[in-house]
Amino acid sequence: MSITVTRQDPRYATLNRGHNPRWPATDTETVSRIELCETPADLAEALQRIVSAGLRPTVRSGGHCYEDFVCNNPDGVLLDLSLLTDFDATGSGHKYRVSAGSKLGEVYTHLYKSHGLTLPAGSCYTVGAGGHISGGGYGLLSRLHGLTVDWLAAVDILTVDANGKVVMRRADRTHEPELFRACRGAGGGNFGIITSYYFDKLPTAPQEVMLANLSFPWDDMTPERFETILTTYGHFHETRAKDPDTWGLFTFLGLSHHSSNQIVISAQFCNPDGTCNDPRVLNEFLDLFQPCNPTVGAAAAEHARTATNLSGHHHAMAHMACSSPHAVTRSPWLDATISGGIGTGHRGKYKSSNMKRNFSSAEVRCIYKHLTCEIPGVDLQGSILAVDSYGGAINRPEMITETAIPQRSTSMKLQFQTYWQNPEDDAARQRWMSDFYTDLYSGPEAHPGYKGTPYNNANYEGCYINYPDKDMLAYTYWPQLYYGDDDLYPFLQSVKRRYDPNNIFHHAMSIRP
Amino acid sequence: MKSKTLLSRRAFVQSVGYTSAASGLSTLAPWLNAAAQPAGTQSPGFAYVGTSGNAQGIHVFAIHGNRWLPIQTIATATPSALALHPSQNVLYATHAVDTYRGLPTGAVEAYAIHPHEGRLTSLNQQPLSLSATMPSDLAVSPDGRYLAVAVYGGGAYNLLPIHEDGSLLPVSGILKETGSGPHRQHQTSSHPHSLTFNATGHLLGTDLGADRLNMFTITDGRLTRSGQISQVPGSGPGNLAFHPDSNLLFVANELDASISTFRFNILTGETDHGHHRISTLPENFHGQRSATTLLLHPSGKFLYTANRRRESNHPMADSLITWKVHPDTATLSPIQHITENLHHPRAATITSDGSSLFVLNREAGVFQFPIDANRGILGKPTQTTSVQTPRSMVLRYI
Repeated sequence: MSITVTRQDPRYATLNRGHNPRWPATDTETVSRIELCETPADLAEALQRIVSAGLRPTVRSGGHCYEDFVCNNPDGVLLDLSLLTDFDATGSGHKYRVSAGSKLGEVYTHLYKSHGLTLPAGSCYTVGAGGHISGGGYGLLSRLHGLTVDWLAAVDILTVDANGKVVMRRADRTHEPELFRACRGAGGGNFGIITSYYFDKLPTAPQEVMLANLSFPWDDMTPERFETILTTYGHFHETRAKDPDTWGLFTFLGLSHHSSNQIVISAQFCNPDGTCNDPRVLNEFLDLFQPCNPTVGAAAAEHARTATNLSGHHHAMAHMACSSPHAVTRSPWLDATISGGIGTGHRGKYKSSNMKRNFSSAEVRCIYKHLTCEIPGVDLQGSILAVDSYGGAINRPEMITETAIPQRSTSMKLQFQTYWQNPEDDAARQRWMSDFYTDLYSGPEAHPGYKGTPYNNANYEGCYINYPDKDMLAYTYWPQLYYGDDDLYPFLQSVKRRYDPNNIFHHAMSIRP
Repeated sequence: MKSKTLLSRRAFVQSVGYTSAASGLSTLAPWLNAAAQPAGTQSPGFAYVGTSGNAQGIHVFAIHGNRWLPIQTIATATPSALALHPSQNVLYATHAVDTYRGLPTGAVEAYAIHPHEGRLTSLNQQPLSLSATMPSDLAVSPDGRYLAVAVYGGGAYNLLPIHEDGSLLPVSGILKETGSGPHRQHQTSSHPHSLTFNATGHLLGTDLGADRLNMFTITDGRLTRSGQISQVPGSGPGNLAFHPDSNLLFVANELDASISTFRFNILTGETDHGHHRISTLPENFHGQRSATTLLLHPSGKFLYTANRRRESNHPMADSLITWKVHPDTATLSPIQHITENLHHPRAATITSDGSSLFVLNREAGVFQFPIDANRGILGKPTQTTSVQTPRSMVLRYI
């Protein structure tokens, strides 16, 4: 039996919300109860009770959803999978198992200590495997090893059939292959509840990594210097970063609002063999920024930590000691990885975009304008445009039809983030980001038919469903932003109609039947 | 045919409780719920017709005898169903859409009705619950406190409290349905079709996708299912009507174009075993069947049903049938078939005095058929309006 937490339970006030305090926004949005499930059988039984009673289930593993898809469920039931953490794959027919409730930090620790292996998944320790992997799952090792779903061999998933009966399914390349493909990147809350992910082969964990940080204070920033930093970074990723010897390099460009003092570049590097024996690629990258007079070493690390710790994003890379010539530190890979942030407690709003090419002058000017703008009465501290390196092993075109992630030409993934404390600031924070984003994607690089969005063209490749943004619902073509404009979205709709004919699993941005 | 009830004892108690709470209001009820509780001999003063298609909106007409004068047109998104508040001063309309303000849901809207001029002024709109797309029917509780919504597309029911001024409060009750039937096109999932409150405030709905009738209880704004009655697989129950002074229930089964008549105890959910089913189409009928409408004459003596043409060239594909009701045996016998002046009839309504039947034709506006009070026979119709693609209609009495 699952553990039922009703409104009368002292745990209710804690468990009816996730990490983003924006939801539930009102009492009427709250669930009637939370069901904590320790086994897939518990979950199946709880789900059956919910469906039979005509209630709406929403599902949580780690609680990091960027939108209101989980905790805004008026009078419905929240199924909490965080106790579903079994790694035992015995009898499954597969070698490795990650249960949906496991946190990424626990997954890395387990796979490393038990097998010396890892997943090329995200950097935030407390993100749950359930939502993260179903949406694709990328992180610091993805340039070297691809997306997490690229490695996926099978899933166990509970679906609800036309007559409301809960069915446990094993989906892989030969059983329910369409459902399996849909589970490889379409995002959470669409088809059913994945309880376990299975893998037959996984990448070997690096032995160690090199970490470096550069920072560039806003105090002496000029538009010209800003453009040099961005275009130097972008040029490297459009060109040199395609070479396999660079795929062990992950970089992060943190473009904070100027009220946050500085912008930062962080890098984690290992050679493709998982060692740090040859640091030339890292040095080559860092050398590019010498003309920009960066602050390096501990001071830069502190800046980087400040810039990124709100989200916990890439917190790992902010740990620093000094070594020459580039103030690089070496760290055991596991230590660097599991120190990732926890990302909790702040109100947050996010957007994403995929870039295929370097920043244009128009884009740079637009970013500069919005990062230096002052809005009377609005504090924009804690606002950052994070530019992550992408590409490498991710960009294997053959994975487009294997998975539900069609973006395989991207060189940089942008994540717009703003964090604040007071609900009174909700509207102003969101308006700032929305204006910034709309302005940036209304320039000459945008597709003329889809202004205001990074619609797929020579420069852009849409958005990332694990960074969902309800503002995109204003565009009738929002599914194409997340799933591309080929046949993937119609395919996902056909899977939806077949495996969730009653649309039991739905949220604002779920696959529409 | 064996019927099944799933009504629990607990639900039974809740049903009774609701009845008690509402009973004080039943004395106000002569003009309530025009379909089930006729208003006597009043004449309708205004007609409200919802249209879909290219000119979707609500058309308001002042009725002068057989003439309808258009007095207002309101553009709105696919008002597939309309319902009057018992006060007759508020009109509710669906927005039968699959996306509302970017979200995957439909909506409902409340309009104040000018007491003398009949004109509409929007009070407010409310989105339905997430995934509640394409709402198909509305019912206002006899006490005027709740609007219940059947959601065909999203397979759900919603309940919205009604504010004192008639405006709608946010959805307070959500019930998600599941279920399917053998019809490959229309029964791959649950499709709530129609909802009706009886005079004592009990709510009953049909599910075309799952071949079921559902009984509901309302408690503190929440909607729970108190019983389910399975129907013949593939029949596709659609419109329904309670007999005014017996325990008879009539259901038009849209997909197989039959009419079910059975005795039904709304308090217990019990039905008689071996209820009467009769086809509205001849044995030689070919093509897709679609029984769209079922209306009981206020006298309880006659029943009117309509078939809508759907991929068939049979002469009865568009037809209107008058039935004589035999309450003692719970059976029906046909007494009149009409095929003229019908063009995809999708809905109809009947005046509370039982003198006229209005049929909404997809291509040819609204036709008024006079009713012979003694025999129930329909006379020669007149066209009251030529509005295109009428979907829904209510009459307001002066």
